[in-house]
Amino acid sequence: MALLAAGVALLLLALFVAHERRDPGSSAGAPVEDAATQPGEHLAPRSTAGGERAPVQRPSDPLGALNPHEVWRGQVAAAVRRAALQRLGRPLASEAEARLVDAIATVGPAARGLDRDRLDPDDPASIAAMRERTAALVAADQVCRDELGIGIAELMHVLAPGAIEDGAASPAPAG
Amino acid sequence: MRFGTTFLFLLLLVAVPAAALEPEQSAPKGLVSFGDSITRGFDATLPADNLNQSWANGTHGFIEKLFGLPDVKSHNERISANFGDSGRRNVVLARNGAKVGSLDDQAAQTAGKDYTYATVLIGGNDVCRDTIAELPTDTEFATDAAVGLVELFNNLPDGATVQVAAIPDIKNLYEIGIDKTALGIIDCKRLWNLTKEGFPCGSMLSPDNTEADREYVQQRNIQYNNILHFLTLIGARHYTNLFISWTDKTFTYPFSADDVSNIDCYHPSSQGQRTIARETWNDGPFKDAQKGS
Repeated sequence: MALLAAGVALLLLALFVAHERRDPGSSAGAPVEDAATQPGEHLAPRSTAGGERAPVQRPSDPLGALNPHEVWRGQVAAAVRRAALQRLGRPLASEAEARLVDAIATVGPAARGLDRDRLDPDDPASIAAMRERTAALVAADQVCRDELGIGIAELMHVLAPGAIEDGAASPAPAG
Repeated sequence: MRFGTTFLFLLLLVAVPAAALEPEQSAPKGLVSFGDSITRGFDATLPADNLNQSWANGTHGFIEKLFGLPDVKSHNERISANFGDSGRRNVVLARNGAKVGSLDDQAAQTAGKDYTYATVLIGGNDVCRDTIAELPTDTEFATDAAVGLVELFNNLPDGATVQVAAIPDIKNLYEIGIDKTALGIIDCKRLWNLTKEGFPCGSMLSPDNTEADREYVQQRNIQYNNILHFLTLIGARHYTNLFISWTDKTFTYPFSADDVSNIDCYHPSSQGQRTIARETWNDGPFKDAQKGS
């Protein structure tokens, strides 16, 4: 019953948010088209000649102006900072943090490539790709071990400890 | 109108049972896994444990997506997809290097925990010993397995489900490694030699073994599975309060080079983990629950 109530509440919230996104100016008048507005300017209320306040223009999409790659780097850097504080009790030096974020950036393409592509034993490019992707993962993992003292897989577990309860954490690398 | 339709749809999603269970069978929301490094996703994608790539416990949440890791569609994920997120537990008790003789230690940790679904994949380290002479006898293996399984069955609450999976075909892994070496992907023979201190498997991987030696070890592999299967059947007959099943897909499935880790030429890769998850789920007690597959 509680689940049902929570579901209904979430549904109402989701519908409200969706409605607001579809019509962002519905409660403050129509948005003013102003391509010349500099970032931040449109956030300030303006006065009309008659002294009335003009409708406040909301940013059309706060994330739209950001580079997705930079957003990703920011998220990973924040995660790395959190792990560094937890593991080392201090943040990493900015160069070390950048090195680790760079290393983590290589993990996704290599891991997904290995996971996605079937090995073609007759294609030297397929074999080379498999070799290079594996080497990239091992190298990235080594950077993480150098900087944080743990591998990337363990870093992920540190960052999301509740997802899997490890009742048998064992450091020994064995079969 | 659209609001009302959406509301009704979501209400139905919440209200309708996600997947059918047997009478008296508990939903498998309290997952616990037993076994060895295979279940810990060792070397699946990144070096060492990859718990999020485990066929049993694997996850694919914000962090996995942020880091760009593949999704193995584990039993854990399938449980959430089919039975919901509320009241979930996802526990790994599998240990690296564990032999069947340590199953009772792992199972002892379940007492009073009310887990409702247990997966067991153990025995690879009994086939993998330093030498062939160290392979356990039938009696030794059967005794260890029986003690461990009885400990597990006794500790689970009524209505819990257990899936016991066969030991993978270690000789097949050896042959895949030889193929990878021949292709120049990685020198598995050299790697096996370098890593034998970490996970010794001289009984199958030693370069000194003859093909007859490896066939003998494979026969032991098969016999251990026969023992596990037999004990599982006995358990299912005796523990009528539980839902106990066996799958041999982990042995019979024709794993390929893509299914084996390039890091150690031995453990399952992310593809291999996904294969194990899919094959065991589809041969298991919840095979009709196909959301998230």
